Amino acid sequence: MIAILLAAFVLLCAVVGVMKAGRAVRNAARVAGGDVATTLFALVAPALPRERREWGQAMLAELPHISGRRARWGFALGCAWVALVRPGPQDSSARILHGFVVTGIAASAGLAAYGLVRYPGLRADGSWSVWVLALTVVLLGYAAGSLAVSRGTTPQAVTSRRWGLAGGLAFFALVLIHDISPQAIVTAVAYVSPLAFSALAARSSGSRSTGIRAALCTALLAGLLFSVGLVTGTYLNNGDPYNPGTVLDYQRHGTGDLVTYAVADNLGGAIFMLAIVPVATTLAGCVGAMIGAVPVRSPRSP
Amino acid sequence: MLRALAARPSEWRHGYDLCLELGIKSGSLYPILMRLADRRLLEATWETDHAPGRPPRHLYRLSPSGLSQAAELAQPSELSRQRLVELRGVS
Repeated sequence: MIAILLAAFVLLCAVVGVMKAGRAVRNAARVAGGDVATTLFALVAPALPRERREWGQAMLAELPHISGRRARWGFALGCAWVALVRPGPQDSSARILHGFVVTGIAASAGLAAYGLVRYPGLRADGSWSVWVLALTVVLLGYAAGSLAVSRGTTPQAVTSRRWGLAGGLAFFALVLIHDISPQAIVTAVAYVSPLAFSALAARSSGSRSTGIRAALCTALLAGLLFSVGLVTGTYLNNGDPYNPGTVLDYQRHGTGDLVTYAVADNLGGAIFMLAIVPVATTLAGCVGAMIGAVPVRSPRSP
Repeated sequence: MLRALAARPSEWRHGYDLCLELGIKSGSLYPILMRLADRRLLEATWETDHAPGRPPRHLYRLSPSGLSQAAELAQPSELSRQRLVELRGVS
């Protein structure tokens, strides 16, 4: 049931995303007067943090004055680099978040490489390259997400990152507690925590978008920490404990040894979780942001 | 960058012209301009009389503190002069 709801949410997000992207391309092409290089930059200029938006307008305004397609493309690509990749001024929350995500990405990639070396059976068929590709795509998504949320030094941006960091760490702590003492209530609290922290972010800033941004920060941390924890645990225990479903599957379809089969199963699960945990936490966080942004009515004076 | 802007201190300059003059790419130019503006060394304004059908461009020039910084950098300080003399003595 949860899987169907998540799939429906992802599909809805994809449809909304495609519609928004189409509208953005049309608007950018209109602003650019049909020039492709200018359209490209007009599309990425909004990625600049709010306090840098005027600079985006300045770069955009230069483009129609540059003669020569090559020169215009060179200028537009340089400006796109500034808008998308150059971090701009960062506060400590941005540096901490960025540090966590970069470390998490490096750890995920390193653990995957280590697994392929330690368990040669994982490379027995060609499917491992598909998994590596999937992992690369997901990790690139994390890198892009980190670049997006670690930008900006407005009070809202800083608030969102602080609550988002707290949410991500709380989620991971609760998952660890659940690992030690598996209780349904801990799982429930773990999944409610992104909602609570996003609600607090929205409440403290009075803005829903701050709550949503906090949810995204939480999602990045939660997904990476969860996945790295899962893979580390898998390697430490050689895929043990083997659940009955895995053993049954191995007996029916498995090749090689049970350890490699169980490790492969867990690694597939970790990549899936790397993609699905952020979706689930963002979904919960968006709900929290909506709740937190609802203005509190002050009691009427008699 | 400071030297280029200080060469014609009262003149407002366009971003692309600075790129051409200094031989740097826009990906390097704008972060420098942003940092200069953040440190209040650069003044920026929008063109008021721009070509019809084209958006107004952003213009840049050094602020008074930017000009004094540029002048400071252009003239080696007493300390660096002494250091230079020391280095020459060593060699």
